[in-house]
Amino acid sequence: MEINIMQADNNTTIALKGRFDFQAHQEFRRTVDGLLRSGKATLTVDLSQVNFIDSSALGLLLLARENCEKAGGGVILNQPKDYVDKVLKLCHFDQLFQVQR
Amino acid sequence: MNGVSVPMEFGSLEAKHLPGHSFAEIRFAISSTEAALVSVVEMVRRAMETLALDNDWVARAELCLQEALLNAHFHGNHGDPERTIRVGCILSSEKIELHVEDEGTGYPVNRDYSNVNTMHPRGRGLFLIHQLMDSVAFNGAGAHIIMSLSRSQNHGNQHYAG
Repeated sequence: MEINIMQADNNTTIALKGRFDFQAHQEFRRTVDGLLRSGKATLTVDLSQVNFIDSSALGLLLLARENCEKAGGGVILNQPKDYVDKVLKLCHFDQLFQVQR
Repeated sequence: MNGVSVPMEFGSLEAKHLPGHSFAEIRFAISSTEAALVSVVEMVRRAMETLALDNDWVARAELCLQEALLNAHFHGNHGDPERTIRVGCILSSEKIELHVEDEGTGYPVNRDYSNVNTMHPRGRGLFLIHQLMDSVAFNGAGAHIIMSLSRSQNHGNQHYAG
């Protein structure tokens, strides 16, 4: 999976590309932890180029949400594609996160 | 029916294919490693795509196979590469049946996996499997999970199927 960080005004976006699954564990956590340390507590996770998501990735999103909220911010999920969006809905993540479609 | 048995980097593979029909039977015996399970998921997905199976079925089966393999590797076999995971797949346009067996003590088979708090760190994978497959069963002590999709089933997963 590719991870790119984009900064525009006060918005920080983590753009993911490819399979978001257990193999992305370390890199995604390292990315979120680094942004939190630099004071970025509100993060948008761009899922528009993610074509597969598993339960490990859902756990990573929950952990990011928890840590960002502790720092006074939150996590926004941006443009999940059909398949990914359906898994998010199935696990009620659309009720736990702000989802931009 | 054509049959083939080939050694793989992480274990062995047996496959049968009925020429002219969208049917394949594949069996793997792999060492319990992340690399091996990633390879199995990739191969099964390619087989389903080669057979031109329904895209929705391919997506469901790919995710559920990965979830079952992750459970087998991390929970059943405790990440021990000396242990084995056995995988069996029957792939056709009428039915997909996936078997995953590890060397562990088995799932707590009496738990209601269809009603899991998805914020809880455990059980999310089995929740997804129960939501996305038509039928889920455990064999013996529970270390062998059998998941299937069938054309004869009236799919109750409309939320997923869209």
